[in-house]
Amino acid sequence: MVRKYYLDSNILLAVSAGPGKEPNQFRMSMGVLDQIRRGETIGVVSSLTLMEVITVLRVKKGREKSSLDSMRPDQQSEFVLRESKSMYDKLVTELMKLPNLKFEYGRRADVYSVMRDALAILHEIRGKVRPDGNSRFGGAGTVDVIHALLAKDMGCDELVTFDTGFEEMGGIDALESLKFRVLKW
Amino acid sequence: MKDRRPLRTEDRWLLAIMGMFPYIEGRTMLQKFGMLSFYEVLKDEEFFDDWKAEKYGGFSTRLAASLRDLEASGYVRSDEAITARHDIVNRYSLTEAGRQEASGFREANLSKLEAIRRILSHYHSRPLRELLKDVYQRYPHLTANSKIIADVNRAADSGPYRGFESGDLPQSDQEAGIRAQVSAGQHVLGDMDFRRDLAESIGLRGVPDLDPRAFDRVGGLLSEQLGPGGFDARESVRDVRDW
Repeated sequence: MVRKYYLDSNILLAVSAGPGKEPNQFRMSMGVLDQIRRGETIGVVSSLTLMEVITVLRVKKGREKSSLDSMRPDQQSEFVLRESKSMYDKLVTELMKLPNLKFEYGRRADVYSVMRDALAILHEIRGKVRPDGNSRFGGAGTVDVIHALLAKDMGCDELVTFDTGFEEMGGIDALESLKFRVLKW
Repeated sequence: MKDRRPLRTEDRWLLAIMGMFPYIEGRTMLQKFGMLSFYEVLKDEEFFDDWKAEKYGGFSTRLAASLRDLEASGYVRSDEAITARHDIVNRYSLTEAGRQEASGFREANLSKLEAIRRILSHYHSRPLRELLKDVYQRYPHLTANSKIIADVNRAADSGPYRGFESGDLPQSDQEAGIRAQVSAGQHVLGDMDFRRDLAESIGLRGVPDLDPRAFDRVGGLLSEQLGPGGFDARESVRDVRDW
């Protein structure tokens, strides 16, 4: 039986960033893509995942001080939007050519049930305070929960990600049918 | 008495599966029933495992040969029938000899056959297009050479993938044979509406054809535009989620 993997945005970004940026992320995300290439799995890309890809690219471009400092404010926005869109368009064009990759808006669950379930799941997330002195609470958040519910709605067997925050969701009843594969090295 | 070759285990499974229904209409439906039985229940059993991507999707040469042998040996019969759409189809059913063979085998394999029956019953009384839509989406690796992908896609576009819980496709092998030839690079996962939206949003004239070489291009595609220095995908996504 061919399994369906919901691809988190960090997987797509790690692939497109290449081996020179974060070699381990690239290696592991390409491993997932190889499974898709061989037809062992179907990769599922949601609209939420693509939205996050766009946002990450905008934020990335928005941090390029060396480019932005020489521009007027109105030019800066144009620069960020134009450059990030160019990157997004390039990536999506190639993604659409990949066999065994499915794009999904999600059709079965209604907004009412997703939002109701999301709120209930979020209350079950315990998370933890990271021991690095930042006093930063770490754990699955709102968007993570929506991703998980979308993956379930789309009939995915696994949600594949680098984000360890998803690990805790493996014990939640409402997401029982979905496995979380957190790639680590 | 017909001259019968010894039955293999895979023949007996096929007889037991066919014995679940008064008849199975058409070789396409029979092949897809065999495919579902193998992939969903019988992967560890001695059953036809030579599934290849052929012109109507997954096809087992050994199952086709077994069906011919079973008919020649008098375990299976085929009768021509005319469908509501005035197509001529072959209906395959068990003879008395076939039913006797199937009966003994069924008693020894009840739970697996029950699992198969639950799946196949869903499709037996439904149009062939529903079966094709679901197996094309569930086993896309067996659709690479299909000549009816366009028709399957049109049916898939009309509704979500329902698995086993749910245009004008060919209703028979003959009707499928007169459909236009289409390229094997077409999409089969029922996501054309999303692809059309994406293509439009990024300014493409149409939805790109599938191209396995894109797997090689996508790695590092954005490395230059991401600029010098590192890029941690995990932290970058975490940043935007934590806003």
